[in-house]
Amino acid sequence: MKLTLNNLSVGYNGHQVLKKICTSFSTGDVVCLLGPNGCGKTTLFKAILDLLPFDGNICLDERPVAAIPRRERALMLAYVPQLHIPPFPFTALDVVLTGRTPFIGLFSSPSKEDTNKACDALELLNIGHLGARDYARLSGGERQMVLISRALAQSPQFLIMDEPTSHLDFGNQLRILHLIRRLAMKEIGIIFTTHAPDHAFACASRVVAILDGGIVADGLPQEVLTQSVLSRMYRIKVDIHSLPNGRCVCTSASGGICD
Amino acid sequence: MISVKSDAEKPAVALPAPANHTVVVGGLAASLLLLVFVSLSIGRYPIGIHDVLAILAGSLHLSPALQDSPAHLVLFNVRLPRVCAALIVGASLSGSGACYQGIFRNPMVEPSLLGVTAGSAFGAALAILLSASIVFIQLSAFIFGIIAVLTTAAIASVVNRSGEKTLTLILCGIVTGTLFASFLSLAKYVADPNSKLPAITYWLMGSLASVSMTDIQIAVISVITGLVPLMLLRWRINTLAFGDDEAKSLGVNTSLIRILAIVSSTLMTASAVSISGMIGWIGLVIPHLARMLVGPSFTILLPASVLLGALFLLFVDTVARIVFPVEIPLGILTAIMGAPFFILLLSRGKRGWV
Repeated sequence: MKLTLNNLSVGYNGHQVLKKICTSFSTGDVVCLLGPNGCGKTTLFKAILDLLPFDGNICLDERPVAAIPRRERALMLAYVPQLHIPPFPFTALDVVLTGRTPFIGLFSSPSKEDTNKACDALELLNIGHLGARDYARLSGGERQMVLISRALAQSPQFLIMDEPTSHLDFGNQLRILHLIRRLAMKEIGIIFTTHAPDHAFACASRVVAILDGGIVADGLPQEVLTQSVLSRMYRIKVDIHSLPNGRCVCTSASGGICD
Repeated sequence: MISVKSDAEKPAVALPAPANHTVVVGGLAASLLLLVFVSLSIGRYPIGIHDVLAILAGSLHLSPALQDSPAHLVLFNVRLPRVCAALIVGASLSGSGACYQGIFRNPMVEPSLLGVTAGSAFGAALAILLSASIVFIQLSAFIFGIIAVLTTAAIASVVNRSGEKTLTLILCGIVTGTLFASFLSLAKYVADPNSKLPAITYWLMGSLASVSMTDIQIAVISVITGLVPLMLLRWRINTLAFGDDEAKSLGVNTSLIRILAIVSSTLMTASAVSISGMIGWIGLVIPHLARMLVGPSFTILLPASVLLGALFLLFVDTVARIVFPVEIPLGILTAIMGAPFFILLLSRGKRGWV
């Protein structure tokens, strides 16, 4: 399946956040969106999910997303929001079960099968033991895993993840990145944002760099994540080091702040 | 509430135990049934439980022998309407409170949020001011309750700050509530202080003493009209607790669900308030008690809240009838009796609302 954005412009109260974006994503890809704070990454996600009005076209296999019924669309696009705490003490399983909503009739409650699928989604992430725990009292990493389980319970074609590694400790960040790679092997398309270019090196098959509402670079991580692009985006001097195992990491260069 | 098995037999996925919740709801229903019979039996004119059953069974078979006995008159003209009213009002306020807390994602919310009780209070005061009959007072309370919520919705759709529909609605509810509270004050200000002002004041304190069987028949219809959609949509209402953006991305038509939930809750609250007057506390606190018992999932929380609300109000009203020589208004008693009970549960319960 292909998700195509054509001349996408989005704005709030007359201020244009995204200007004429053209790109496309395929299932099986791991695409990392990089860009400074406020460059429009979350806005792009909200437009794709039809949560914001936009100009231009967003299509799933030639069908405009806005024309696809919301329930059907939920079977194609799943959203993993940034961490949040609901106001009531739902169990982790309750949270994952909401991912089955598109399969549950308007007047129905989850069936035994829905519960089984939700359990499968928990087990896929090796967090079955959290099922009965109070979601609000889980650690940040555990909650992020539960939200990913919920998205998987939707059995979507694309997973849209808004900063899945923020708030996570060093180990959990790597676990999530590893998981993203595993999911891509299941032919799910993953689009995620991060503020750590290293994470793009670690698991992305493609990087899209966004600056001032437009795409400034798009391609393989090592093509896009160059000193010049990173310096332009983050307005600091950046060094990129190649590790012996072939992976790259970036660090801020000495005397690095450009403004 | 949660099954924690020993490590030896730990299942792959730790499931919350739904069986416990069914037992809790079953227990509430059984206690409610028991309390109904006890409440029908005791009072100034005691009727043995056996006689209560005989009279109820006899009336089904239209046995004329029992028709004119004092026990029959007390049961059908006084006690049964009152017990039914307590059940309906308690269930409505608590059920719509649970619903509002869920859809507005806020545990501090109660059914009066969008102005329905303020509207009803003004409606009743206006009717009393015009020396209307009790039927007209109730009708006026009901209609003005609905008008207040429609006003809130109308203001919200005019203001319509993009992306913050829920917050806009709550703020507009506060505006409407304040507006109708001022109208109420105006009605009280111009009311005759010797006759009408006390009538308005007593109405506002809430009572089930003057409810007739006709009121019950009308209220039952509108309460069921509100409760059925809520029961049917209760899983979808759950998803709104995670916020609009998430619910939408889960495939939920959030506007439709919210409108249906608000219309249903308003119908229930307005009918409850119109027959009982103002009874606070239940719509705010009983859903919390229910949540402590069965957890926050609305599929089980709604039936539990409805049963617990009915149970609580019937209990308080029965005590109000029996214990005190002069009947104390219900609105006062629900808070006085509920507060210590709630504090006790709060201090013992592990799972609160945050």
